[in-house]
Amino acid sequence: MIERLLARLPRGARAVAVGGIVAGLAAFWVALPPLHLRTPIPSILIGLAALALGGYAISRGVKRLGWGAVVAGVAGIGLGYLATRSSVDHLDQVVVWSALFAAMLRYATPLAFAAMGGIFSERSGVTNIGLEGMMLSGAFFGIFAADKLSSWPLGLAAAALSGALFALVHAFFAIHLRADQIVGGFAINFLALGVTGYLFIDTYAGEGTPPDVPEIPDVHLSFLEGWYFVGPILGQLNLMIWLAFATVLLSWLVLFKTPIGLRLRAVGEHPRAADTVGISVYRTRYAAVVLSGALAALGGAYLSIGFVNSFNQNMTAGRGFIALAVVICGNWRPFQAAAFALLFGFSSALAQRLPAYSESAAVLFQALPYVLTLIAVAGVIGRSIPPAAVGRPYKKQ
Amino acid sequence: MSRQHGFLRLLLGLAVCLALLLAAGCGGEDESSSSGDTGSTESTDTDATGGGGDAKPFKVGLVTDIGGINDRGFNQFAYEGLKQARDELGVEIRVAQSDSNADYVPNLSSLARQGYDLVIAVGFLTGDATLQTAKQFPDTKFAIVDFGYAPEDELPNLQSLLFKEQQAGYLVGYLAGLVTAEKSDRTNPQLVIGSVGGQKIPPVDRYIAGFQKGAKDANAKVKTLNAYSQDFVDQGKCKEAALNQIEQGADVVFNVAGGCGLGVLTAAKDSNVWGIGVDSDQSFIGAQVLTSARKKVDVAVFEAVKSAEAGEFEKGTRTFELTNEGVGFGKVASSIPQEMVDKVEEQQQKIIDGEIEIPETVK
Repeated sequence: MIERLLARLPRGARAVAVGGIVAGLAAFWVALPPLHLRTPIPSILIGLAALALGGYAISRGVKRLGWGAVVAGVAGIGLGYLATRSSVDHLDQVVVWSALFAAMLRYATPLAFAAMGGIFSERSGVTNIGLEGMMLSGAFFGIFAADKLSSWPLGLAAAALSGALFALVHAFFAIHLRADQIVGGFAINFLALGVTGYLFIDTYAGEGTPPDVPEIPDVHLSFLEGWYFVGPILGQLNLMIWLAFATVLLSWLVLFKTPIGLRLRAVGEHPRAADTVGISVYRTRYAAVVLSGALAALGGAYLSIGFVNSFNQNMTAGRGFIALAVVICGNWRPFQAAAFALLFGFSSALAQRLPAYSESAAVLFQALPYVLTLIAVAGVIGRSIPPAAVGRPYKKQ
Repeated sequence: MSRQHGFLRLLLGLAVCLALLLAAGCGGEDESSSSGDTGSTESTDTDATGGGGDAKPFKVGLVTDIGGINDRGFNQFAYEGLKQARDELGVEIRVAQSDSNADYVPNLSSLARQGYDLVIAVGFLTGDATLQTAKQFPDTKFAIVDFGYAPEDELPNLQSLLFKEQQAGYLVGYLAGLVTAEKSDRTNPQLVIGSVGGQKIPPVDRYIAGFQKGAKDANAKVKTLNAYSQDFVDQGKCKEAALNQIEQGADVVFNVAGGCGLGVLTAAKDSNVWGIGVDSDQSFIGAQVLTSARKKVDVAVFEAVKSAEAGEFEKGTRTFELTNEGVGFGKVASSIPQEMVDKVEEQQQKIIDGEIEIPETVK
């Protein structure tokens, strides 16, 4: 097992390029807390090392990673220099590593759930733009059921059920009626927006959701408490964050290590072939889409009963679409998608803290996650290849 | 070929959706300016018993900002004040909620067009829209909560209802300064407290400036943190901002962000520190609420309706402060010793006596 993992590590020039990228990051890091060196010289030296490593890698033909190292080196020098010029006070306020990483996990969790849902749906060949609406329905019905039934597990169950129902509608239109899946998905989004908005006002108008709704508990790991850095991050995480980790792992196992996963991917790549060997394309697609709705809804439920313990109209605010981007950036693979969810979470957490420097640029900083995603997609990942039959309805002959 | 085809379809789909979105947006606006306020809840209530022998009751309309009337903050209290006016003065009332900043002008002008005698706009964010609408409808009286106009912008039919939030902020900040230095299960040894504002706008900054000054006056060693969530609705953003401050050692966090700020109080609950409510008395939210900086929007709205209904509408600014009980601090958590509350009340008297100068802007 370990040997196999080692065999997958980059070698030769690729390893040099990866080292260059790490050096570029390190050039920035030395200027930040807890080290915060107040002179730019170490940043510049380490950054130059990154440039050299990148140059070497490019000369050996490792273009993409090599240029990545060069960019990281230049950015490391620039950002490191800026950091040494900014006041320690500001730096301490923005860069609290443990808080940043904890916030990263909180931002990434709903994305990870929805993205896993998206992967299942798209791997089976059905585009699911309705993730946003399914998340929103999960957020509302999660808190609605938790409130009315006084139980958060029932809230979660209701959330998953509502997402699954919306997904079933989408599946019916996409699979049986062979309607355009983009339009169908958008219809789901508007439908969910309307249904949750109406029910919310009808049930809670004037009051908002009550403050004492049962919420998904945090997991207290008291033995971690004293640990440096790790303790504050992992010591008190919401149960849903741990479940998100488990969901990513399970998604990977199911998709790539079980016969079910193989069938599902076959249906998404070449439904005719799958049909010929006796796999029911319709049934597989229905199951995958319904599962994707349930997963997305769990992500939404985390937002309402896991995180802020209240509901607002349209509270998902586009997270479903970001999850869709995460699916694509992650090349329809669970671990890569999870990594992108984390990157997105980290940059969101950072963007939220940067206004300490400039209040007037606050709105600009909020674009940071999107810009970083663009850079990551263009620079490091390259072309992502969707399942061959995604978005194409299948007609049985 | 197939991938190309899929991509084109995606583009086409997106274009269609964008068009749909635009159509939905425009449609909504059209409707709200012509026939009322689609997409926003509204309510009309007439009090049959009130109004005396008047053939035509005095009609008052209220336009909320994007916080909405269930923000448990100033929009809700403006509505409370309006309901009080309906019950006690027998005026006819109507509320138009705004779902986005683009709704202010349509909502305001539709109420004016429907013959409402007084239209009240709630919130600093409605400032420009109210000025614009007041110019268009010189026969309708307008009142606005939280926005003061420059002298050259003042109109004869426009009244500003302003608060000295800095006084309320000072008092809760003073209490926070005392509490953070005290040993308890909700405080830590560090003398750090924080505030989370929605946006850097004057009413928010007056609270925060007062909060910081009050804390320093209580204990010069206290360090104050401050952040803005850039949002008055999304509780997640405020919760994140508060958690960041708590991680830096803050054991009292002050919500200055309306509905979004409820997330600050959730963060305080999760991390077992103190939270301070804003505008309304938010002690009902939980045991983590130390006290609330009160800004009695209900009083201001009621007073504005009352004088307008009596024909005593005046242009310019009406200020609500400690002396006329327009601001103050709310219920203090029961575990706080009475001496601390007494000290805060001493400061309150000093402010009323004009002995304390409180800044209005955050450095």
